[in-house]
Amino acid sequence: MHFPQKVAVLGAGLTKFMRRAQETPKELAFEAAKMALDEAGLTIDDIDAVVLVTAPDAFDGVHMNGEYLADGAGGSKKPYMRSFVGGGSGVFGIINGWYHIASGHFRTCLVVAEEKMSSSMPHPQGTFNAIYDQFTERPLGVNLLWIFSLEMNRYMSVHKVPLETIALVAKKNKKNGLDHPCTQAGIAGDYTVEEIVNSEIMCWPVTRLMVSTVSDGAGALVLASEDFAKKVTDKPIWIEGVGWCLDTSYWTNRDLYYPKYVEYAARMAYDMAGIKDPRKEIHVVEPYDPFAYKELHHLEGLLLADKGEAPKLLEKGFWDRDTETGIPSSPSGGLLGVGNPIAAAGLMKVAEIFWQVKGTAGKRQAKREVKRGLAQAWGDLMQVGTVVILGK
Amino acid sequence: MFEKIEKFDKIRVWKGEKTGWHRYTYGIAGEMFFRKLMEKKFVAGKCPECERLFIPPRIYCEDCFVEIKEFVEIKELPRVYSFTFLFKDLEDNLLKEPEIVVFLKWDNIEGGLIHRLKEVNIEDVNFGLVVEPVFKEKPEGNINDILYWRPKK
Repeated sequence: MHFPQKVAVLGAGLTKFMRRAQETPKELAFEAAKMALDEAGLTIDDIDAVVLVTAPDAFDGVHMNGEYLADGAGGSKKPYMRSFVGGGSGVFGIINGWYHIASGHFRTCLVVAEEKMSSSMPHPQGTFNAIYDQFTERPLGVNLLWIFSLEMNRYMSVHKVPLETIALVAKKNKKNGLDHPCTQAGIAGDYTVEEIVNSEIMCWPVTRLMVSTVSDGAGALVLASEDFAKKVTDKPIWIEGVGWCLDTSYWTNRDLYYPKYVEYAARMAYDMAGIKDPRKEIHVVEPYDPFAYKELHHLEGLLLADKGEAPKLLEKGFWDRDTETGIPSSPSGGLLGVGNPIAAAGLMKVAEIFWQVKGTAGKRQAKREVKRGLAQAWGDLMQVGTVVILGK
Repeated sequence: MFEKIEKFDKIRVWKGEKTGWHRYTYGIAGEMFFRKLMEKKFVAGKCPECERLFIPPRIYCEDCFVEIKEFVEIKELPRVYSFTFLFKDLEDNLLKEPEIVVFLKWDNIEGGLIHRLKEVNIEDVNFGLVVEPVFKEKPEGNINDILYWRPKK
């Protein structure tokens, strides 16, 4: 594959994640964008184009939310594009930013992800009801927890995974989240497996501590062409691979225990990056973890573990931040440990890989050497996989 | 045609509705604006770089893309920048008397407000008309604390 320009990441920004932010969506977008520009050492005048992602308009409660957010995201009077794949949007935005530059058309692109779920009343689940089939599912009062409990249960039963093992994902991520400066109040913690398994049952087998929260927040990344990046930094971090794939919205067509669309997205990104053996060539990973089991589900879809093997590796500490022989997974704390402002949470995953590869993740820095990492998000109606690989 | 899809006892349709509603925070700048409005005052944000004033205030200048920290009270009155007259309500019923909707701008300030204009004959409404707000007796911190605007007396 040949693209006119290689694409570098120059800076990242992230607001604190909150249950109910006072800031408007525009204000959140501005704060994250400004932080990313500051890390890159650039001003808005250096930005040629802006990409914005946010999940359903109904959360912010603003129809055509992309247009509403444009000025806060730094997109005023610039080529501006909103893209959208629900929960997969945070990583998808980076992919869109990537081809703005890879095409050779722009030198720089600011990618901003924003979500303000707290505006949606009485609860964002009311909005989620409307993503389901209006004839067969919505009249039942369906919500996300129903469907994910069905999927989790399927995964557990096909691979014979005990609930206590799934709970280890929440234990790991909530502990990792203690070290993230953007962690939402009350999310991170050093929990025991017993506390996680015995927390309030949301929708069996999903318990309170095995599902991410409703959050407000924003994130941003500054991308640049190779020509531009080399003028402003000696050590650019490159986007080596991107991949995305959308499955049908008929979620009932799937087997539920294996996310094929994530595998297809991963294969696309590995091919582009020239990666033959991802288990050796990926040194840190941020898979999407809105539910504890989803991290394992996604690690398998990303081909970093055989089907049904991710939980066994988890028990051995293979995915821990301080592993020396494994692959640290969600060292940021992820959605379970930091919070889940949907599009912003996906972008947080790319920001974490950027900081991990750059070596500036501070307390969250993986123990093993990190030359390359992968971020993945997932969403829409349990149907999309989006993948970005960053490397030195 | 509509008759068909309004017979909800028939199996061919299912009546769906959006059950959610929203609770919007005013934000940092908005909170300040509406708190001042409760005191029957207007504030604008001032960009530290281009020095332009913005109303309603905001915490950033979208052109310079820098943070705005300075907010100043606006003592001048705005002018009618544009206007329209409403003769019917949303249900298509004729109003007893037409309503006047105006877009108001302050001289040398970016932005503006739209609102109702009263105590004026339709034929006297014009561009540049200087107007003053008529407030509720007990403001609650929202845009309807201004009952309406009227020509400056």
